[in-house]
Amino acid sequence: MLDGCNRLQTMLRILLRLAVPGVICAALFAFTLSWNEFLYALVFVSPAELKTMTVGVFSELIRGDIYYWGGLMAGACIGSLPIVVAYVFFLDYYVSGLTAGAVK
Amino acid sequence: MSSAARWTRRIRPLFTLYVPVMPFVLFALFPLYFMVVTSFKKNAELYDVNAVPFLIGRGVTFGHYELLSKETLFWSWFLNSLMVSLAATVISVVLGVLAAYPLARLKFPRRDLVRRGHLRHVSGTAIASVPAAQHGGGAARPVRQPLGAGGHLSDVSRPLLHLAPHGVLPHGAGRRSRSAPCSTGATGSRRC
Repeated sequence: MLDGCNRLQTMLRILLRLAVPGVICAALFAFTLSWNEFLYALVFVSPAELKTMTVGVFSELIRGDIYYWGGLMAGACIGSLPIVVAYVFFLDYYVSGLTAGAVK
Repeated sequence: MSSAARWTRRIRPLFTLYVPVMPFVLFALFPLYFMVVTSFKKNAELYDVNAVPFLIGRGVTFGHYELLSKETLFWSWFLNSLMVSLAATVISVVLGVLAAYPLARLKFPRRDLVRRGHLRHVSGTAIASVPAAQHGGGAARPVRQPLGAGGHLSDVSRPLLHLAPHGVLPHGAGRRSRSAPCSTGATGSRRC
C-alpha cells in the first residue's frame, strides 16, 4: 500500500484529506437542504415547542387569513443567516483545502 | 504593454463579465432585499395599499423582531432547526463518505446501478454527488484497480468534488471528458 499505510490509514490520512473540499461541499448542501426542510416537519410535528423554524414561523404567524408579514419576513431574515454564515465561513476553508491539496 | 492595452485589459471584464451578470445578480438578490425591507417596516406602512412597497418611507422599526422573540417560541424553533440539521448533516456526510469509497474504487455487482442515482434518492445530498463520477466519464475506464495498483487517488475524491473548479484540481474532471481527451490542464499534471 501507499507509504506504509494499510488500507484504513490510506483512506483516513490520504483519501479523506484529498476529499475535504468535496466533503465540505456535500456537508454544505446537506445542511442547506435540512435547514430548509419543510414538508416532513409540517406533517410529523405538532407541539409548538418542538417545531422547526420553517414550520413554526409558517404556522404561528399566519392565523386564519391574517398574515403577520413583518414577523414572517423577520423570521425569514434570521432564518437565512445561518446558511449565509456557513457558506461564508466554509468558502475559505474550501478554497484553502483546494490549494493545499493541489500540485503547484 | 501600452497603457491602452492595459486599459483594455482592465475594462474588458466589465463588459464581458460584470455587466452581463448583473441582471442575474439583481434578480437573485431582489427577494432578499424585499424580505429585509418588509421586516423593518412599520405595520401602518406595511398594510397601506398606497405606500411604495419597495422602500421604507416612514421609519424603521424592530417591532417584528420583538414580536418574534416575545410572542412566539421562535428561538426554540431556531435551536430545533439547528440541532436537526446539524445532526442530519453529520449523519449524511459520514454515510456519504463511507459510500463514496466503495462506489468510486471497488467493483461489485450492480455498482453502476447504485452510482447512477439510486443512492441519490435514498440517502440524500451527501451522496448526491457520487453519480457525478460518471459525467467525467469515470465509467469508461475499463478496469478499476484497488489503490496502489495503478488507480488514481483522485478517483475517490472526485465523486465528491464535482462542484470544484476543475482546473484547480491536480487531476481535473476534464481529463477524462470525451470531448477533450488529452488536454494539458492548468496544472500541467494531467494524465491521459
